[in-house]
Amino acid sequence: MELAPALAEHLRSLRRPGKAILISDFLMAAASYQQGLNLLRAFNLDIAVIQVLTRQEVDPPFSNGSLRVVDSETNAEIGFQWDAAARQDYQAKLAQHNSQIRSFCHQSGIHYSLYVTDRELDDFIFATPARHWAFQIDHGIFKSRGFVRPFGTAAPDNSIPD
Amino acid sequence: MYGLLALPLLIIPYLIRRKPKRVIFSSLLLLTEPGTRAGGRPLGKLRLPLIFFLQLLLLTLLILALGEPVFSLRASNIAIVLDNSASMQTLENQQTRFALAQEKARELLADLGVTGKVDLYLTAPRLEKVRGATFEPAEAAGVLAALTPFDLADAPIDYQSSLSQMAKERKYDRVFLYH
Repeated sequence: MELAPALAEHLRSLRRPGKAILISDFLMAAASYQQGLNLLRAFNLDIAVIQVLTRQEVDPPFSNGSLRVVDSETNAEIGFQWDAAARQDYQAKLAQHNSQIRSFCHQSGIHYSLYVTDRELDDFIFATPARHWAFQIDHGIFKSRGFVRPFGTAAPDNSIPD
Repeated sequence: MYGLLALPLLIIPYLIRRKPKRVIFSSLLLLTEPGTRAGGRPLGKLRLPLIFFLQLLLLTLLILALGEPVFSLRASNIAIVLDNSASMQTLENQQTRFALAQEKARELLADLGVTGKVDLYLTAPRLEKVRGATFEPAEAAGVLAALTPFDLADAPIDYQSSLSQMAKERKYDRVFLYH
């Protein structure tokens, strides 16, 4: 499903401006996520974007040779010759894709952070500026899980860990 | 050496492509953009792994080894020393030893290149060059056929030293002794 229509359904019930956290892998065309984020901006929301990728998405564990790759959401299928060069090509494209998202967010006043799931969640949360989160940080789930830290104590780390 | 013709067969297993493995992935976005290479086509670009070339080399060496190659330098200037003493008239398998020696010498001349030079020697009554001349292989074969054994025993000759000296002095590539 496209991002913008999915967001529009929820935004219909929105009565006043507030904070929006959009968590997605953002493995979609630039036009698609830009349309969705612009929709959130149109509602005058303070937006934080968390791009979540698995290690498999950062470094696909495909064995070399001919593959039939199936899209887990659309079931679309393509033939692909996977080797070291293809891996390098994929990772270069992913880096460029993520860079475009980050750049768009920066230009649009959207807080962006990238979380690769093999990273410790605590580390990610503490390294992400507190203004990204939806709540005053001394309340809510973070406090209950012991994640509370003073504002802005850690520098953001949005690079893909090796 | 005909085994080398079978070498191209080695490529057949690499031409038979395995059915591509099917994997599920979260998005094809970064796999389908221009620049990615579609695979799984029956006549797609053949990609030969390094192991193929190693196998090819190994198979080539194996076939060459089975061919039992020898390094030989074809002699072009030879001497044939034929024992024509009386003892060569002894019959062996209904042929005289002399006739058998002539036959062996003819086989040798047949293997010699057309540019070869041949000196013929007889041992009786003394070690002597036939006609005092050097022959071409075809001509030597003709002369050889006309030779006959002598009814005398050959002179006592130390073949080893005599032939070694002959080879050295006349610069023969090889000296063949039939007796």
